Amino acid sequence: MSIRAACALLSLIALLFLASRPAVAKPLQLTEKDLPGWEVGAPERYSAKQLYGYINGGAEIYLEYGFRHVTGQRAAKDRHELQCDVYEMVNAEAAFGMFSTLRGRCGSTLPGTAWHCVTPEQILFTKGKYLVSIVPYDRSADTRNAAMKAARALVGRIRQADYRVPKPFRDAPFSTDQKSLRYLRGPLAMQNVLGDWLPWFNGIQRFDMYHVTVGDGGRRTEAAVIAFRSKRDADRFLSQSGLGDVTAQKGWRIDGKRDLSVRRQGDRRVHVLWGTQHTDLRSRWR
Amino acid sequence: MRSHDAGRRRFLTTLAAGSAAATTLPLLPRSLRADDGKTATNIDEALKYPRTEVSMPGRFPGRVVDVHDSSSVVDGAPVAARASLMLERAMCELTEERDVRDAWRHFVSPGDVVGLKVNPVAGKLLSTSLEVTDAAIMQLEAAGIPRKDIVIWDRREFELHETGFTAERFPGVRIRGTECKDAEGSFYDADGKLYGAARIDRQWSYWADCEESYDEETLPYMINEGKHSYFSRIVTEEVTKIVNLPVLKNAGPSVTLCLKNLAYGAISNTARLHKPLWGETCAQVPCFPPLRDKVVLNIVDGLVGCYQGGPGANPQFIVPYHRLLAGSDPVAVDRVGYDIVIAKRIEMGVQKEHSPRGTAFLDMAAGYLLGIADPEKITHRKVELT
Repeated sequence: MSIRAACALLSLIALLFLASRPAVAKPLQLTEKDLPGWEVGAPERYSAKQLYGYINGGAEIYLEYGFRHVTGQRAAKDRHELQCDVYEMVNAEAAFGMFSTLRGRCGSTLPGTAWHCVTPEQILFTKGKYLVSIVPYDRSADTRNAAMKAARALVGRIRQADYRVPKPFRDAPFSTDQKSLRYLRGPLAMQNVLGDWLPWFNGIQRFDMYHVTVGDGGRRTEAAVIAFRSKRDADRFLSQSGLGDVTAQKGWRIDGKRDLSVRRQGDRRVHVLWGTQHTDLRSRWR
Repeated sequence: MRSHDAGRRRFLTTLAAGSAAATTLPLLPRSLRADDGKTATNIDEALKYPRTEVSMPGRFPGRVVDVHDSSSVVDGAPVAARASLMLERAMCELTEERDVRDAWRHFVSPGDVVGLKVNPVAGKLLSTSLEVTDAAIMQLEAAGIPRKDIVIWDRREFELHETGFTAERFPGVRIRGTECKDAEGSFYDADGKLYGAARIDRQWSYWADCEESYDEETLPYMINEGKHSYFSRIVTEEVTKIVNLPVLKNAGPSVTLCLKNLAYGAISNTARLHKPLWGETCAQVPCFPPLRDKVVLNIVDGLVGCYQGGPGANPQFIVPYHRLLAGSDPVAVDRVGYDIVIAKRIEMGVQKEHSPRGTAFLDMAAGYLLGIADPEKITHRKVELT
């Protein structure tokens, strides 16, 4: 083999080697190009251990869901200021779960992601394993427009699919209520968003719970699918909810006084309907 | 660059040695086994100190004034003039005085050094407002307390600065935090010791049988580990009276108002207490004389608050409540604040009804005679401005 051929072969091998290495992902962040005319601050990155220092009084719930990093940036123009935080969670489910605890009554839409909540106070969205919060500190039109520009730029940069919710929440009767859909993974999320359920979860540390609210006012009914980590936890939940002897074979157990229907599926899985429509929803829940 | 780790390790070793030889400390636990399976604390030691005439619940047990002004917040921002008027009305109604200067003199006198315990933990969006703080300072000045004798304080000095409590914004007023850093951003002095270490008073400690480890990466400013939480010198030495200025916020299905702002703001090594002893800490730390006998007044800043996501700032749940609550009794004020927050949570569909869990810490505090938790025994005076 000539020297030239050997060099070409070595170059080819080197190229193949470099191409086969996994790309080092750049942190998702804002750049000056995203917000022309604005001064975009240097990103500050915090790990799970550092999160307590970054979010005083709010870190634990992120850790409960599973959190890797947050990249925080400020952007300013004259007297206008916004804060952008990009949370990288352990997976899309964790990001969706956190999103579901943070969203309130949402207004405008944000193209490019199915899960977003735009209000005058905040733009919040999740896509893939990312959860993004952009807060316009003042509520001027300039700052809100800049916040929307920043959100669009970040959405476009995420090459991951939207989180897809599991059955039965993709189908009727719950599919129309995805705006209220929540995913909870532990007691902190429970404390934050479903305080009424807390006594039933006493002493249970980990679970996977999807929850929607159907109807409102007098017709408000909550539906939940809860996967416990052990049979013991499922037994405990049923006992604390006052429905201790629900077994997989018995089908729905009904407490008419409390408008409550509960069904067990296997050892660890429980379905709950709680509210005035529980009878109707029971028959429609496949 | 100096190694922060080395300095930190040295400091923690020093503290451990101090603990071993701590028989001279007045508040060391003796036999502190919890009989009810709860984590043990040294609350019994605190309760031995004789009460004074100004001990909590102070001059007006069970009395809470609730001033509402719908024009107090515009576009999410407090209106200074309205905040000032609201505070004036709250003080006069609370004390039944016509002149606001006389109202304040029920609580402070010339010669006092008055600490304003604000709450900056949730950042710019949800901290004690600068407008209500301004109003308190101006009214204190009118009552004869010069600005040099007013201290705005909290646990973390840098959080005060980040939320606008700066020397430039409040000229002449001292801005102090127990945990602090220098102009270069370092938490350590030239000898590798935490600046905050000099700002705790090891004569006063809340002992609890639980621990948590901190390191440079987690909470670099935490002053000590172990089972003691030391009181800040700001509380034990620098101020003679404390005016408590928390924010109207939820904490899950409960609230973080007067008692929480005092308890977690006045001591070190707090992260260990959240999980096993949240309610106990809120009710027990204010039983220690540096707080029990110095906190004379509580003013809950409810111009803007939250009903969900607290105590952090989650923008979608921040709302204008347009309110100030005032009282000398922190337990009664907390109970009225709790009712307001829970009503909002129910209105917004976050929860269906009041849960006794949410007020358990108030019942505990009432048991320690810090105030009145029973709504039937609270005099709730409402003032409607606009």
